[in-house]
Amino acid sequence: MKKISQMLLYCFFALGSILITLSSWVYFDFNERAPFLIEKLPLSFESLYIFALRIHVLAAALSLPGCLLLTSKSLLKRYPRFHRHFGRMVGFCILIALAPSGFYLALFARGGFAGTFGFWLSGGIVVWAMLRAIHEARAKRYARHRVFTFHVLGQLGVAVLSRAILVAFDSYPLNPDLIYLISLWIPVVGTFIFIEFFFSPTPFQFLHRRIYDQTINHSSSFHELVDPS
Amino acid sequence: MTKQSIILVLFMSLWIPLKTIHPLHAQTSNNNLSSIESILEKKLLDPLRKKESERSKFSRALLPPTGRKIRIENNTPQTDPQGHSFISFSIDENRGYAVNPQKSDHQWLKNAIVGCMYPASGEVMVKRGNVFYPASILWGAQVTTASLVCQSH
Repeated sequence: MKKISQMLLYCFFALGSILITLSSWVYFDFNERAPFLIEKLPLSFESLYIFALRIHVLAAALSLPGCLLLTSKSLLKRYPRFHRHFGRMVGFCILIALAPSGFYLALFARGGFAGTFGFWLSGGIVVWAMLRAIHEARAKRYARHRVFTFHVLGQLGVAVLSRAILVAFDSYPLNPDLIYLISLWIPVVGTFIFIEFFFSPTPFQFLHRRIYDQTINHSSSFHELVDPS
Repeated sequence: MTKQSIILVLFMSLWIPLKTIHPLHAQTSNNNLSSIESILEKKLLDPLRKKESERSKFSRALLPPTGRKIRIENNTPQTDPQGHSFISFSIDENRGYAVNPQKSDHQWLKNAIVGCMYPASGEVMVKRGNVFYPASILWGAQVTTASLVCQSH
């Protein structure tokens, strides 16, 4: 049952990634403006926006399927060197191309500051998780490496989930900006919580650690007050 | 002649002149309104619908609405700084299949597209943000902003 559900999930994200990539070719038509771009007009630096959008789309077309491939345990067992080299390539693409272009494009997101902040949060989680994943892999803590790479995959999968929600909500007479924000925030926050709860051996360990550190600091300062010697 | 036939003749003698001397300006404005709407349908909404039918559903761009209606609040032409007369319009959009478009007026998204039309040339301009573009921008044409349009002098 677990394997079937995992397979279904991978198929869903793989299919979503293919459909998004195919629908993104319109951004590379030099004779026409894409509908997504028309919505943003007027833009002060339209050429820069289009350049960032193309970089972002190309990086995403590599990153999401790449992350799906890298989560394959059988591929890891058979070709560990491929996993390492391809993982470095995908990590480089995410940190150098996908995230920076995404942070810029988020400035023009629908829904005002809520939309911008939602995308920045997602990008921030991707960067944080990617750096932690690299750190854990170099330290040979592969269980933690796996959790952080799932966070990266989850946030990249927001692109698929949010589009699915947009299509599902299309038949409801709601404000389009509201639907857009719902389709952004629910996947971003929900994916993070889902992965922490179901894949992390110690869910929200970073939060527990902060609470623990603060508790120790408070108790040590309390002891100093009571017994200065 | 019977009484009914006299009454009928009297009625017809009054009704026919009333119909023939109906004020022309009223008819002209009604016809004008319908011709503006027909131009907008032909030059703006039809090409837009055609382009939207070819679009992918998996873009982050707003999905096409289920219906649109043209609203012209003031069909008196205004004059722009270049001396050309134009008429402003708004287009409301209807989203969702659970709505009866004829009854639920408040569920229409007002002013989804705002712009103006020049009746003399048939040119249609649309507003994006604070600037105006030719209507072909909406189906992806590589056009630039137009200045001194759709603003009354």
